[in-house]
Amino acid sequence: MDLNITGNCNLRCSYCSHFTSGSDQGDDISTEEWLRFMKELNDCAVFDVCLSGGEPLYRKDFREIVEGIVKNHMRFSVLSNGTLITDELVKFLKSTGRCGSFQVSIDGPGPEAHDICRGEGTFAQTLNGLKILLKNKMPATVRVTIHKHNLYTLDEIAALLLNEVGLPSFSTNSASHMGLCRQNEADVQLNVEEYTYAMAKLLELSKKYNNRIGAQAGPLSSVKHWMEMEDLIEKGIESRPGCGYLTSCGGVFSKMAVDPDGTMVPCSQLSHIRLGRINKDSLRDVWQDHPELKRLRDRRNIPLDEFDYCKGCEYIPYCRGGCPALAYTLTGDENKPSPDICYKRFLEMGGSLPEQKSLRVR
Amino acid sequence: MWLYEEEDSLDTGDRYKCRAKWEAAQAEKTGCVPILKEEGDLMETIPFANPEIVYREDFDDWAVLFDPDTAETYGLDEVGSFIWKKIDGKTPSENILNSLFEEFDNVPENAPEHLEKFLNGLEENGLMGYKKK
Repeated sequence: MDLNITGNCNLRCSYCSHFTSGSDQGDDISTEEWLRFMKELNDCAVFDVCLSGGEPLYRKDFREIVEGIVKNHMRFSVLSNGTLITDELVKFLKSTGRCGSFQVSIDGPGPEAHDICRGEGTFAQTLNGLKILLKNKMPATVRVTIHKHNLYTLDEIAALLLNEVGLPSFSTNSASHMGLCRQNEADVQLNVEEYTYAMAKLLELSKKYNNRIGAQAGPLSSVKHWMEMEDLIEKGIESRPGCGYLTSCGGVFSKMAVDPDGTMVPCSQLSHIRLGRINKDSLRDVWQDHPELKRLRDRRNIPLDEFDYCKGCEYIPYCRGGCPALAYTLTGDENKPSPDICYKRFLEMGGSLPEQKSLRVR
Repeated sequence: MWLYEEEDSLDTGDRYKCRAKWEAAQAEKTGCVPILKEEGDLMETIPFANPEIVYREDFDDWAVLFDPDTAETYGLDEVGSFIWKKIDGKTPSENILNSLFEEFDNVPENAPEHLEKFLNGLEENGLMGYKKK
């Protein structure tokens, strides 16, 4: 379960996907409500929860919530901006033995590229937080969100995190179309040329650092995905398993989320689909029988060639349609392909892949 | 392998047995006093589950055990799931063995060996312990 335990945060990052989104409504629920829900999670044999927000460490009862998780036989991970980490808190988290990972966000090799979107002084605070995690041998991870202001510092970011700090790896994404990013789009979001540059640079760095840079979305994920498409076409492979339909989202088969006000939702980015309220509606019943979840799970039966823009696209047999949340944000309908991951659209807008091995005529 | 004497009954919820592989801090907390278990005296034991382990039933009577302390998961087939549900700290190993013959067809004659091997495997992975009957 993804538990957004608070809608509050000490920062206002200019590309934050939470603020002004569907999850940014209502008040935080009480400690007692979360603890009561932990019991239900245990009854449903949930193994693992991910604590986020807002900023999860912003909650004064963060330790109590973690104790509730531990008491109910679960593990947890944390997604944090890293600025509120203290040695005492980390020692406590370490003592539970249950923390699978603690992710912080670092967007630059120094304050200039990081603070511009996250706030003055945040780079130093976050780096200090990361050092505290590593000093206490916590499983620390870093997410780098790529935007207009740090795009040309990727070499230095990789050197900082992988050489100087010595992380085994870090993950990347780009500022998406959600939350505050929508109103700050011109200032933060990568255009096609910038996205093309980011793809090439991340691919180069990924090779340089022996695949220690990862991505589940964003430029590095896109370039790998699209290069594989071209590769399959070149090899004459007619299709890729599971493609040709809206099959990209496996989340609805493995997890759910809870918003800060206690609303159960399929995913933190699909907060407009309200499935129920914790401690009022049965988690088991919602998970097994809610018609909206069933509808989202049936998404994978929708063929891509049903959509006007996709009809006749040569990449259909290799495409899964992208994230339903982004599809909803950009088109108003989660049961459509997301323009964000569309290779055809990327090419039409002037984008190109790095290291093209062939001059395949399209 | 080790048997452990408990200082209080399991029903108190305050103390339970643990095995050598679990952290020393846990052993101290629960007041474990290890006793060496002799080979072949399975029928003199009562198995009990590590209370931290999460049991999740899956399809067709299969199940998964999850250890939140190690993040390890273990798959149980239909028979394993049946046995696990009887590891309650009260049912002797002998009774568990007998219930296999009642529940399933074609139970092999060397079922006691199979059962001991299965329970020992659970014990070695920190999923359960033994106490004296």
